[in-house]
Amino acid sequence: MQDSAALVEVEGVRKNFAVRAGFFGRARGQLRAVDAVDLRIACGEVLGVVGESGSGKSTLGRLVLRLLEPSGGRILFDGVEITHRPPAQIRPLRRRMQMIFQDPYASLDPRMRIGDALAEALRVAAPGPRAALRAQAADLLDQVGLPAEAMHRYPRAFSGGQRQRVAIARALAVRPDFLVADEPVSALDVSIQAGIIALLQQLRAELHLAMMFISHDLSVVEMLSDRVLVLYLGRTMETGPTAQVFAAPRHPYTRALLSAVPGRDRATGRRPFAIAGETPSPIAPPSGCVFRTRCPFAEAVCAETAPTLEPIGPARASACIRRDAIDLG
Amino acid sequence: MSMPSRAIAPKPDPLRVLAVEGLSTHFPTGRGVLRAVDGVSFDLARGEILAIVGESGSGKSVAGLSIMRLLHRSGGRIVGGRVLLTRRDGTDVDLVRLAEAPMRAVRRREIAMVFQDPMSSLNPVLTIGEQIAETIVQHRRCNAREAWRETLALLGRVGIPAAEARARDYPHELSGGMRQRAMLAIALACEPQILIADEATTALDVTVQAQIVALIAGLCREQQLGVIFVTHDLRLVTDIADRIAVMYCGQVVEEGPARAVLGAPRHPYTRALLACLPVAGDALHPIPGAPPDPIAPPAGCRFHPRCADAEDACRRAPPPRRTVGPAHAASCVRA
Repeated sequence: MQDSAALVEVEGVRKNFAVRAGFFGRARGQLRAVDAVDLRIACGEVLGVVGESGSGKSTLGRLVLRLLEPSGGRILFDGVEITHRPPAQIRPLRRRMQMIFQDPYASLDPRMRIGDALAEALRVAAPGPRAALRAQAADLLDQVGLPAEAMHRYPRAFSGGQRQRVAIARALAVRPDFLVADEPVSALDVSIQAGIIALLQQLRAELHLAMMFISHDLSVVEMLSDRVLVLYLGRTMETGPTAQVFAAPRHPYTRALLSAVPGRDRATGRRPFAIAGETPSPIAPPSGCVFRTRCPFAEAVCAETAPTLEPIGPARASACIRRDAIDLG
Repeated sequence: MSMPSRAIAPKPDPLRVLAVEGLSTHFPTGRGVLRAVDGVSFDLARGEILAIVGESGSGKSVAGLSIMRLLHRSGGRIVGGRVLLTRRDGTDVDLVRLAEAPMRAVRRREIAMVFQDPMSSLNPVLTIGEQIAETIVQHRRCNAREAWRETLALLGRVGIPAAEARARDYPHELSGGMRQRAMLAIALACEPQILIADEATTALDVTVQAQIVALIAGLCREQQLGVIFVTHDLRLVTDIADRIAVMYCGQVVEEGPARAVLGAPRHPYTRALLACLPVAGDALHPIPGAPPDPIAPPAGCRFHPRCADAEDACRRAPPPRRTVGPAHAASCVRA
């Protein structure tokens, strides 16, 4: 991986949260939400981050944007280290990175007409006369598939899918190079979800937008991302080009996630690969490999040493020490 | 409305356990009457999984709540139709016209329901074991020791490991998946004929969701339970549903064997829904427009404003329900 055009580079990033007994209690321990994760996103590239609850995927998204300060590791945006920079020094870069969320309502001011909200975001990016800003706002709405008269409406007047389009328009107003999308379609009906996915596909092609697309839904990640990173309890289990990882996973957890997509095994002619149990508490993760308590292939050795992410071919890596000994079907 | 349950002549299908006929449930609102469920019909057999699939506002959940007559708090009212439950003695009873006291018995003994959020159904101050045992004692009038033994057996059957220890846990001490399993144990404690699962796996992690879906399918086969699986996720039922009813704006637009509905859908909305599902390599085809306002639905076929094939007839009158294959019907003039 010697892509000189890396826009986002993350090396061994960690985030620990103190676990307290009660609101004012003394810290009882550390919750390692994200534990030594490496990633790299090139200009115009989409990295899918897949994981279930407790995987640290949302924390990772916030770390990359420096909405959270990491406990360790390094974060670089366009070659500039932002790991511990104070907010005032990150602000100029922040225009180039934006975020959209599962609940777009939370990122829109309910008392502001959409046109005003967009014009304000546009003014921050490039001040100009009011009429010009309004015209640009109308263009933005057109770009996300909303009619120009949406300018005069308030967020509450939109359906969930339209609201997500507004949130995307607002994020695009500052002409970002990089977008973190945290479960942007999870709350939407499938007929609406398809429209938002198609919009994101179109925008990335038109705007050469790099994206970190966070989701628990592998089918959606498959549609949108060039490469994928599979997280479990804050650790990377597997990473690589999406098509390769999905066609031939090299970690039992990836295989289990794919098997949990309804109808997928039948469509691909694979045997079902269900795993028992649920993700353990991130406060007391298992020793060694964190996935071993649910892994059908776990042996004594898996409890002893924490596996490192080993390269297994061009741009692919797996953190399973038994990956060559097991048959994932 | 309250009259004694009356026997109705048995229907030909000996396995049929529930027949919903022309069910309509309305909610009065400030803007007018919301016809959440508008003339819905379907049958359910023992040992069968019927999936009711629809997007938000389609009326799928209200259909389930109407069968259970759990509408008082939301202000809804059943204004028409019948819900015929076949009791164990072979007689039918219309739940719509049943008095409240015998209806409570139906909810206790005949039809169980699990919801998306188990925390809202579980009692937070009683252990899981106490809640299951309580249900068993009420149901079978057995002594506490027997009830406890049965409780542990039930916890095992719904896949809760270390049942003895988990039975002494309070709901908040369990994970989401374990809570949903506990809810299923309570549901089974009543030995119901029918289980209604309303988005019961929606809030769970994907690997856990797969476990619970498989568990419900297994229970259906083992116990010959009739299962109504209400979900927004068409993909979720592809592996387990025997039959699928697709709802749109308060109405069932297509109903039939799962294989036929998924493999050769005859209603444009079903086809459009399937084309929305993300499949790598295929282009996505979102459905244009938005679901209609259920207070003022479009005239004629309710899907016509979003339908690529709509013609004049579709705008004029509601489409007839047409038989398009064995046990397969679609409400479309072009089906």
